[in-house]
Amino acid sequence: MMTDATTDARVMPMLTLQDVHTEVDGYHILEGVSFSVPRHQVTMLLGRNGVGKTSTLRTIMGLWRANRGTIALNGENIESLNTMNIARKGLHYVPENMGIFASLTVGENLRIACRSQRLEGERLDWVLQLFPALHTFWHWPAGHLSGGQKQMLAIARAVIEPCDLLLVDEPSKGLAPAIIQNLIQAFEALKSEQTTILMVEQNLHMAQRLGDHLVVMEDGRTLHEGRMADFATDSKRQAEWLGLSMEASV
Amino acid sequence: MTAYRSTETTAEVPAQPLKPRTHWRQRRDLQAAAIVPLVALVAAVLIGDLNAWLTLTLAGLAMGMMLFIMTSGFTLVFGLMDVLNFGHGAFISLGAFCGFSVMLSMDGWRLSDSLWLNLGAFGAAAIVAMTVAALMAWLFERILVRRVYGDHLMQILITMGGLIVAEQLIYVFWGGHDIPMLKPPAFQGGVQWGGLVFEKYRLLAVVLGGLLFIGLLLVFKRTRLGLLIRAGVENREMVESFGYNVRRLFVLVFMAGSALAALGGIMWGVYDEVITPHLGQSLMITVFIVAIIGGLGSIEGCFIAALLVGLLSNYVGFLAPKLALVSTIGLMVVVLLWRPQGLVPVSDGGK
Repeated sequence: MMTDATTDARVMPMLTLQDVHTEVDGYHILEGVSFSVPRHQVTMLLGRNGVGKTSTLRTIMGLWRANRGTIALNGENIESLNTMNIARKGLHYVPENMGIFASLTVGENLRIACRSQRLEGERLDWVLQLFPALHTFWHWPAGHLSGGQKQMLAIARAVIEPCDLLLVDEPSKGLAPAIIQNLIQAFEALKSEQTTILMVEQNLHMAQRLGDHLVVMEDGRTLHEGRMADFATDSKRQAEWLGLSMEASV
Repeated sequence: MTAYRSTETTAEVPAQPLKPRTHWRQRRDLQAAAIVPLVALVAAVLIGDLNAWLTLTLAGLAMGMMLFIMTSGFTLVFGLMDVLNFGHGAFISLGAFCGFSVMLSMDGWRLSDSLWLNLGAFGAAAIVAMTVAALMAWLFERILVRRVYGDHLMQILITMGGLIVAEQLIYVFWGGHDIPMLKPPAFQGGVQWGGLVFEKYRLLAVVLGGLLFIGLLLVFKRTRLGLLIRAGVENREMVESFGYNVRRLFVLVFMAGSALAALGGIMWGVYDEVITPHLGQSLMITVFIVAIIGGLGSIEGCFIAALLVGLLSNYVGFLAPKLALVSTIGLMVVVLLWRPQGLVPVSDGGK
């Protein structure tokens, strides 16, 4: 459980978006996104389909360029940097399609993720302990893994090097409930390591279990920002913003 | 619901990682590779004469190796950055002309009877041609290719334009006439082995091409650079998201690929004993077809396709000379009907 001290406004947020607008091929995708991601917390980005959650993550990562507004990591503006330099600032990304290199083995996938050091030692042991399946299938082409294993590989790649901020796009998508439980345990382990996470999630049960901070989007804008705990007990707002209720999805 | 595997949840990990189970059905590369001996076998039955078959097979393999060397760069440039570089042919011509100039200026070594001096002249020509091609490729990328990322039509138009300009530059520097040059003495003729004759230069081409293929495979499978290229071909955005400089990687591949095109150009020129300024342009069509048959972006596919094209055009040229011109196109049609993405499709991320 997070204490109130960590939500203290005096602590500078890890990431701050200020009125971010993104246009792709002439379409306005984001039209004023503003929120912040508190340090050492899990921030959940919620909203109905197509409101711009994935676009927000892509814009933060520099895969799409923001036309207006600022994105600051640790107080330093990153919105004009390219993806490579944003990654080097300590932002790691797990995209919605997981971005697994299917023809590379599990081991090779992890080796690529280890840019600044060799793939070995305590960190690797820790990741393999978190996701034992990756050890078992180490020599397998990653394309042969099951959906859940691919997601675990994607997350393992993102955390094999320590990062400032982990962006995760819908990790539970298309996975069986039992595997989602596994995933929740893995993220809880990451939380206990004080990893800062910004996660897009449709599975409200998972969002409630893991989230400390909450951002709700609608039509390319931020609609609400607050504590997850308040939102979790407010079924009226859940129905209003997301069109469903927490109990229904458990 | 997806199948549930116990290894995902429990901490009971097998002491050793499992060996991958590779099913024959999943090994598209091996399936495709098996076609090469199959074609050779069918041809042997149809031809019926062992000596003729051996000669044609060696000629086909030699041609295939040269095509592979020329195509590998083209296919990787497409795979990595989605760039269709029809100017690739310019580097084939450029390599041939630079190489010929160097060899013609080294008459002492080129005309010597010593195999080693002949190889020395050839090696020097290759090094100069590949270096010039790599430098020109760097310029070509900066001036033309960099401006047209993400737009295939523009890429085809502007790189075709680049090819024409490069060809005209060859006219300026070397004149518009063909340059003939006999093979060095040690490359001429054949070696006898048990009543069978193997042409020496073809053997050399096969050995050189084979070594290059093995070398490339080692780079791809064993080095970090190769790992990044393979990953980049599958998903460039993701490689960038890990903080790698994919642009620099691309320029490197572009230069190396063009250098290989130049090497292919010299080998082809020495084989034909004459080069013309539009050598690259005329080979470009075959290069494109080989890349398509193999699967754009796949180095293994490129190798298999090059051998198939080389073998088939030699066999068909012998069996039914009138069909020789369409054999390559016919092969492409058949392969694409079977595998629309080419013999060894580049994975789309396991979707």
